[in-house]
Amino acid sequence: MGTKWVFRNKLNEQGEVIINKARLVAQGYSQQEGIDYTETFAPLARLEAIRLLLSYAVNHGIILYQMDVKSAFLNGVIEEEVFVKQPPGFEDLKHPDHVYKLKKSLYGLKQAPRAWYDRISNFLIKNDFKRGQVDTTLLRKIFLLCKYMLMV
Amino acid sequence: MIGLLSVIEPTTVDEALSDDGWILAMQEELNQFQRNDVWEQNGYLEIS
Repeated sequence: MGTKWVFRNKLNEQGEVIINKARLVAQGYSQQEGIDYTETFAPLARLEAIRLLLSYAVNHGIILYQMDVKSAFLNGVIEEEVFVKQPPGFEDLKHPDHVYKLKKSLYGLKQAPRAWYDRISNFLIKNDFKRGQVDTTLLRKIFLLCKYMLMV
Repeated sequence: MIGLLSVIEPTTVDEALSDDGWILAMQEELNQFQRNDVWEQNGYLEIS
């Protein structure tokens, strides 16, 4: 599978360039089901569930924190065997045709969101979080005095 | 560091490779791959 660079500038509130961000993405459109991907479904938090979480938090005086996971997709472990070409411009001159075997997902892979959701939810469940029955993006853990709720 | 920032967003790798700021950005992305153990480190494989 080929890889491609995507170049984006990040701007601050004043619209000034603060960082040059280069992202290597996999050209996932060439992927074939059953060969290099199987499951792609990943749940997303529903707006109703977010609203419910907010009102519950307000009623019980719970402080909510919002977090962002850096390069989340690069943390998803992939089950399938996927090989990618070397990054354009960074090829080994001696072996330009050699490929990398992926262990984690790359942006652009069809299974990337799924792999990340599996990884984070497995971790949380192992740590005694319970998955919501209606909305599976809501995981919670009950303590004696406080209650942790997590939405992914 | 600031001096290396580029205002333009390149559309091709060749363009990016001619700019120090963008070379640094690509290097940084590949470093992150290393840290996250994205692909097999012990070299690449030959495809037949």
